[in-house]
Amino acid sequence: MIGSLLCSALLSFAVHQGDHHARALALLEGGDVGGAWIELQFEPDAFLKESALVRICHEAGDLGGVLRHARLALLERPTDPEVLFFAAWAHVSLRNCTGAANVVGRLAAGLAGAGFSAEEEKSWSGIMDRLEYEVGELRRLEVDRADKMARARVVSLTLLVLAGSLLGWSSIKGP
Amino acid sequence: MVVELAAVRLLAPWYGSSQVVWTNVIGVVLLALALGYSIGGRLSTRGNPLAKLGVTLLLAGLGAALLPVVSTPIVRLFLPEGLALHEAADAVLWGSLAAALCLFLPPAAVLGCVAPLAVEAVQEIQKGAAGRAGGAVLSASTLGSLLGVFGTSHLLIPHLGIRGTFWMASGALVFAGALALFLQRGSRGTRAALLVGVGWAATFCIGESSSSRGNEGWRELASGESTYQSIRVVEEIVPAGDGMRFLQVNEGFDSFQSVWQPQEGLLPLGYYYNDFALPVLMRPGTEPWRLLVLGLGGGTALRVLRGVLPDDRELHAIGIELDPLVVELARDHMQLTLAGPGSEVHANLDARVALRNTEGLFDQIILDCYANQVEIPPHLCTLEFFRELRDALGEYGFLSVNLGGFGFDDPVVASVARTCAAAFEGKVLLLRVPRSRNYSLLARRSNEWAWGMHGTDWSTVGLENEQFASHSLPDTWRYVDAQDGGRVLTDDRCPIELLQARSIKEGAERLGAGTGG
Repeated sequence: MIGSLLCSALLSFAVHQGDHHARALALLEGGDVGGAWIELQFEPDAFLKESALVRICHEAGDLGGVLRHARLALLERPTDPEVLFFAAWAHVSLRNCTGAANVVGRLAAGLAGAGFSAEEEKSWSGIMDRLEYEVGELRRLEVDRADKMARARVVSLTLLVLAGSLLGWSSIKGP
Repeated sequence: MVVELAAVRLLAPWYGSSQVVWTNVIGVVLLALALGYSIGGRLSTRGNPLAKLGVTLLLAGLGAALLPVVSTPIVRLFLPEGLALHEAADAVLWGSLAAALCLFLPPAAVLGCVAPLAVEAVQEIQKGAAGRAGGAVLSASTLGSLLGVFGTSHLLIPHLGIRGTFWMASGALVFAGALALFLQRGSRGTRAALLVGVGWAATFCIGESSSSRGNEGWRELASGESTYQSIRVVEEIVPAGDGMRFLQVNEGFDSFQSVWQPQEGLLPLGYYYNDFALPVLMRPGTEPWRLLVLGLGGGTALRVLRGVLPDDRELHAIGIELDPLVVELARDHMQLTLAGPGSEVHANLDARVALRNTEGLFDQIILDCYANQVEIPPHLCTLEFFRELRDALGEYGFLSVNLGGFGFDDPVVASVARTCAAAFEGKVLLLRVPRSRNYSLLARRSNEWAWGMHGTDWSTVGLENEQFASHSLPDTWRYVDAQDGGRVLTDDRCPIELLQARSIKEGAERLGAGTGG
C-alpha cells in the first residue's frame, strides 16, 4: 500500500535534477544504494543532495537517517512535499505521534500552496488520508496508553493503601 | 507456593515474566500473607478454629479456581493496546502491579489466614503447647511449599497448563477445607462445604479465559505452556496461500522469537536473520558448511541459510534450544527439519553447556539466545564465553550474534560488541538491521575483513544482493575493537540487566525525540 502511494508521490512530483543527483537516483533505482550515496557526495546543490539522501535512507530502512537528512533538506525548502512525506512516514514508523502530527500539518500546508494539477492533487490526497489515519491511530494508542497507565497507578496505589491500612489497624488493635 | 509460581505464568502472556513482574507478584503475595496472618490470628481467638479453617480453605480454593477465569478481563483493564517493546517498561511495571493486586491479593490474604487458624486448631486438638502446634504447622506448610515449587515447575504447568494447575491447587484446598468441616461435623459447615464445592466445580464449566492477544489480521495456530514460558505460533491472515508465521513467547508485544515464510531463503528487508547468511556469502565454496546454532528457536536461521547455500553445498547443522516445546511447535508449524551428516537438534540444553560438549570446529556459530524477549542471559555475553565460541570456530570461522538495541552507542550493543572484540583479539563488525531495533555482530577468528565503504568489491561480501544493500550506507555499520566504548563483561562482573534497563530507557527517549537508529 505504502509502496504504491510512494510511487505516486514520486511520479507526481517533478524536481529539477542535477547530474550527480540524476545519476544517484538511477543507481538507486538499480538497487545500488552505496553507489548512489557516493554519487551524492559530489552533488553541489544542498537540497538535491539531502532530499535524495532522505530517499536513500528511506529505501534502506534507516529511519534516523531519513529524519537527519530531512531536517537539512527542509532548511533549504521548508515545504517540500516529498521530503515532508518521507519525514512523516519515518515519524509514523518510529511511533512518534507528536513529530508525525507536526510534519503532516506542515505537509498539508505545503500542499495547499503547491499549485498541483488535478491528478497530482488526487494522488496527494490519498497520501494525506493515509498519513492522517496513521497519525490518528498513533494518537488513539497514545491516549489509550495514558489512560490505562493512569488507571493502573490509581488502582495499585489505592489497593496498597487499603491493604496497608487494614494491616496496620489489625496489628494495632490486637486480638 | 503453587499459586504464587503459577501467578507469574498467568500474567506472562501479557506482561512477561521479567524480574519486574516477579517482584510485583512476590510483593503482592507477601503483603497479602501478612494481612492474612494478622486477620487469621484475630479470627483464631474467637473460638471454633477448625470450622473457620475449613471455611477459609474453601474460600481460598474457590478464589484460586476463579483466577484463570477472571484474569483476562482484569488484565485488559490495565494493558494498553498496540504496545511496542520500547514503550512497555512503565506499562509492565504499573500494569502488572495493578493486575497482581486485583487478582492475587484477595485469595492470598485468605490463604494467609490458614496458618494461624491451623495452629490454633492443632493446639486445640492436641491440647499441647502453642510452640509445638506452630512447629507442626510450619513444618507441614514448608514441606507443602517444597512440593509446590518442584511440582508446579516440572509437573503441573508443563502437563496441565496454567488453568489445570490452578484447578489442581484449588481442588487440594477445597478438599482440605471439606475435610476440616467434616471433622468439625457442623451442619452449617457441611452446607458451606457443599456450596463452595459446587462453585468450585462451576469454575471448570465457565470456560477458559483466553490468553490469546487476539490481534486483528492474525490467527493462532498453536499454543502451549512449557517449563520456561508461554508459547504460541501465529499466522498472518492473507487472501491466498500461507502467510508468514511467528513464534512468540510470553507477552510478545511487537516482537517475536522465530519467523517462518513458505519458501526457504532470505526474508523480507528488516529481519535480522538475513545477516546470518552473510558469512556464507563472504566465504563461497563447495565444501559442507558446518554450522552451530545456539538459540535455535523455530529454526529460522537454518531456513535462511539453506535457501542461500548453493545446491552443491551441504549444510551440516547442530541446533541447540533450551525449550523443548519451542522445538515441538516449530516441527509442527514451521517445518523445522534437519538433514545431512551430523545434523541434529538438541532441546533442553543451555547454550554454554552445549558448546562445551559439542565436538569439532565450525564454519559459523550463530548466537541468538534471549530470555523474556529482550534479556540476554548474563553467562552468554561474557569475555570467557566469547573466547569459548572463538575456540570452537575453524580457522576462517564466523560468529554471528543477534543484539537488540537502539544505536551503535546503545549500552548493550556497545558492551557486548566490545567484549566480543576483546575475546577475538581484533575488530568485530557491527551492522544495523534496517527497519528494526536489531544489530548484527559479526566476529571472525582470522580477523580478516574485506568490508569497507570505499574501494570494496561488494560482490566479495555479498552486498550485490538487494537485501543487504542498506549495509553499504555509512552509519549502518562500523568496526568495534576492544578499546571502543561500552564495558567488557566477564563471568565475574556482568551487569547486563542494568545495561538492558538503560538501553530501553535511553531507546524510548531516543525514539521519542525522533532520532532513533
